[in-house]
Amino acid sequence: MRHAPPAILAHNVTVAFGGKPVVTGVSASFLDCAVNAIVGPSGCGKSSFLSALNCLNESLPGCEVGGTVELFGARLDRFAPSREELRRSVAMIFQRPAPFPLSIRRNMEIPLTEHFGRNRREIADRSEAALKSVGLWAEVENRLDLPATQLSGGQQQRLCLARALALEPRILLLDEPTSALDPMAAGLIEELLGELKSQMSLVLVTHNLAQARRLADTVTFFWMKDGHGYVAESGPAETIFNTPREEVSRAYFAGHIG
Amino acid sequence: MTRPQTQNKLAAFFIWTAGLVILGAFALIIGDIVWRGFSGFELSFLTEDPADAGRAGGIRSLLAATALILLVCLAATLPVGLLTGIFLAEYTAGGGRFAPLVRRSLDTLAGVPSIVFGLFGNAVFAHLLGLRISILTGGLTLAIMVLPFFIRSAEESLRSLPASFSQAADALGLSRLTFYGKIALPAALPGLMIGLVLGLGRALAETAALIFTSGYVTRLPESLLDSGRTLSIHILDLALNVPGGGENAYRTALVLVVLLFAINAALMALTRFSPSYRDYR
Repeated sequence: MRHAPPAILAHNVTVAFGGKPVVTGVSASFLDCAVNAIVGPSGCGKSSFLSALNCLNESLPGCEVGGTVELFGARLDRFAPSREELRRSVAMIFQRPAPFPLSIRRNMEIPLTEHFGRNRREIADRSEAALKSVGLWAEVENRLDLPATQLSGGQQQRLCLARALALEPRILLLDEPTSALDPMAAGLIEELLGELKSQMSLVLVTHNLAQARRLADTVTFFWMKDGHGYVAESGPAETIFNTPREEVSRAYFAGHIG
Repeated sequence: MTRPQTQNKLAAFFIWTAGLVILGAFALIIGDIVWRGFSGFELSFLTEDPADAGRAGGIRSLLAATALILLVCLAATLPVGLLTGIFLAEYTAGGGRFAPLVRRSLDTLAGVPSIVFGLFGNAVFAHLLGLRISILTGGLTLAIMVLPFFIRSAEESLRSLPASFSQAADALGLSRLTFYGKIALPAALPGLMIGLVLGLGRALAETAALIFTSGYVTRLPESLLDSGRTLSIHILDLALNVPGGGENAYRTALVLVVLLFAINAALMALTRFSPSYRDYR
């Protein structure tokens, strides 16, 4: 299988809160047009590392991020001139669906207006296309003005996905996007991720090893040492799951630890 | 009966008694005002200016002065209060020193007697800035008095929103202006309205700060630089300085109470009709 050059190249990334490191020395690459899974036990800094990829944690009190991140071969500040532009291109979906307390329509319109201007026709078209791409359009087309919070958890998560996809990101960061959903809703999201990987780079943090086995093309395995996370092993999913090099990886994937 | 059961019954008794005492006091005050204010009340009371030092005539000019002072107060309070509330909600978590200082200053200001605000308004707005004893001076003084309450309630309302709203907005590349303007402030509307109702209630009932700042005259104000008498000052004057002014004092109090209820109801209705409020619930 031939993959495009790395969409993300992280070199020696360190994230610390209040001077206490959460992850240290993380160097990893994530492919374009692929699902790149980050797995590992709770508290090993997977989410903190993920948020460092679009600088989302830089505004958190006491958070310091070190190292470098390149996106499609360009350093962050060259890839996107502003944080707003960076986050449009490197979208993120969270563990719990986070729709705004507004109508479904406004949830779609506000980010689109921010990034693409106020052309109402264009906004409506982009909203419809994005909602269709996540399979939500048929369920909500007649109730776009109803509160987004009235949707089910799975629908809310698909709305959040549509909201992010409408901005045409090149990379999609997913922080355990199905862990708060029932198996049926989680299945729908997984199906969507499988479809999306032909269009962009997906970086998926998950605790669910079965999900990683189903979806991932590459796996980066985080483990903990001295109270902070590091990358124990990374590579193609097949290799990591079937013939891991490290002792700790073998024990974790066999279910003996973690 | 077991000991916990006895304790529960005693606790319930005291809680209900406290609630009934408050309700009873409220009913007594309102009942007294309605009973005495409503006797002999005619609509012309609202459309005529005071005569014979307030013993006769109505309260038209006082209603106009009160409304203008409240509008000035509102116009100054809303932008300053919202921006400061946003500042405190946005920047206090970072451990900076300025925001806690602002918050402590506001808490101190909230405890300052209103007469002191009156003296300040008189010295600064009326004399230093040359706004004279006027509607404008009175409204601005009231704004300074109301601001500490409004700012803290705005800050608390904004801080009580789930962090996921802000995080999702950041992740979508929304500016903070968009986040606050289109998401956070509409979602925080109920809390903001409660702060506003409490603030305006205090402003509407204020006398001490206004005697030195908006004045005492009963004529209809023609501009914001004219002085004017508010309803609460009129009640004070009729009750203390005008023999035979008691009846009109009660009528004026009735109008003041109705106004308070009306403002309260209008702001709460505005909140209930806000789509974000319905969605958030």
